[in-house]
Amino acid sequence: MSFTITGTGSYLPGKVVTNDDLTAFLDTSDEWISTRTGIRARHVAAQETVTDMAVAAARAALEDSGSTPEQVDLILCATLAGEYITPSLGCMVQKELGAHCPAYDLNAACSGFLYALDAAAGYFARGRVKKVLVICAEAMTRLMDWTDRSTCVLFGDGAAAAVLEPGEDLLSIHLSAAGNNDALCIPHVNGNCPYSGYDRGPASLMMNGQEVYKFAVSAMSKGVEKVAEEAGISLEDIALVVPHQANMRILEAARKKLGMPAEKIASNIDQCGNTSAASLPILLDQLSRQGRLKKGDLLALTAFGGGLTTGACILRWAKEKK
Amino acid sequence: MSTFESIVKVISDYREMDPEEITLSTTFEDLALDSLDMTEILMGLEDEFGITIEPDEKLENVEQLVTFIDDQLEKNA
Repeated sequence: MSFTITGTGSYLPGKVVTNDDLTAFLDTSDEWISTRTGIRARHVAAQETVTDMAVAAARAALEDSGSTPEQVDLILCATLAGEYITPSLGCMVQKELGAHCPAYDLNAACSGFLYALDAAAGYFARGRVKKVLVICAEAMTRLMDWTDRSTCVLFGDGAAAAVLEPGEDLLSIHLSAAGNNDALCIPHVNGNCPYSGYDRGPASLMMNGQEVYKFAVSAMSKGVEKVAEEAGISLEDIALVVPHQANMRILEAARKKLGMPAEKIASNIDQCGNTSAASLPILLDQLSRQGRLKKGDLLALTAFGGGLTTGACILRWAKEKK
Repeated sequence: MSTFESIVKVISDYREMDPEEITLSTTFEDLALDSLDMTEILMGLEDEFGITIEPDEKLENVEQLVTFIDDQLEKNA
């Protein structure tokens, strides 16, 4: 017993910042950013909180599944940071939705959606839940150093959600972690305790691009191969690969390693940038609403992120083609 | 196959170009290879030689890459 996805939803903030907009204060160019990353624009939460985005995505997913907040048995939020260290983003969403269930956050960075699906599968296997709301929400633009042109151009903001109910559509899943704070990190805030001299440094993202790139290409391609093998299917059986959207070059390099045609690798990075945990489910929701998924399609979800973490699964799509 | 020949093979496959066009003095700028391309080429060379390469050098041309790979091969031996 695992689950079936009965609804998805997503939210992208209204403010769109193009590469050309960034050149107003950054020494960069549309040509540099788009050739190195595939990103042309990103959405920025100028007016919205992370909670606002998460709630909007959750409401869209609940409507898509024909569910009400009162029916939800568990809210699982994958996020790096909401508005508060406590209450969790899950609790804030629970409050705004008027749900009555337990709620908590998990942090697996950009692999968050896969980690959350795996956690949810455990609850279904134990018969503890009938309806789980998985939400991924991130305001990455608030975690950047906007004077560092090598990182701030890569990320955007957004949220997505999925409603899960009992079923057998998770055919295989594999997660991994390899602790590494040198390749990628975002230090926490310091506070002003007079007894602690420990300085974490600025609370903004630092990344060794080449090391992360190398890790990502290997993780994405090996992840898909592994979960396909565990599900007993071939790569040709996969209708679509739905990857975490970090960099078009990573997707292309992973695609070549897998030997799969370009039309089988979904992407929206040109308009969204890297929205961390939200990136994969935002894409999944868009694919669903664009009518690109049909009932029975075998989807390979694959992600990697800070940690360093990876996650991949084979998911059978259950919803009728829109 | 020498280190130089292996490098020419990996780069020419990656760029889908004639291997004859790559010499020791060819620069990566000539080949329009940026740092992400270099990371992929080093990954290709890892597969070719069966070693792990730490990409922490700023390499500008094929000759420097040959020296760098020979050093890595010695470290891995």
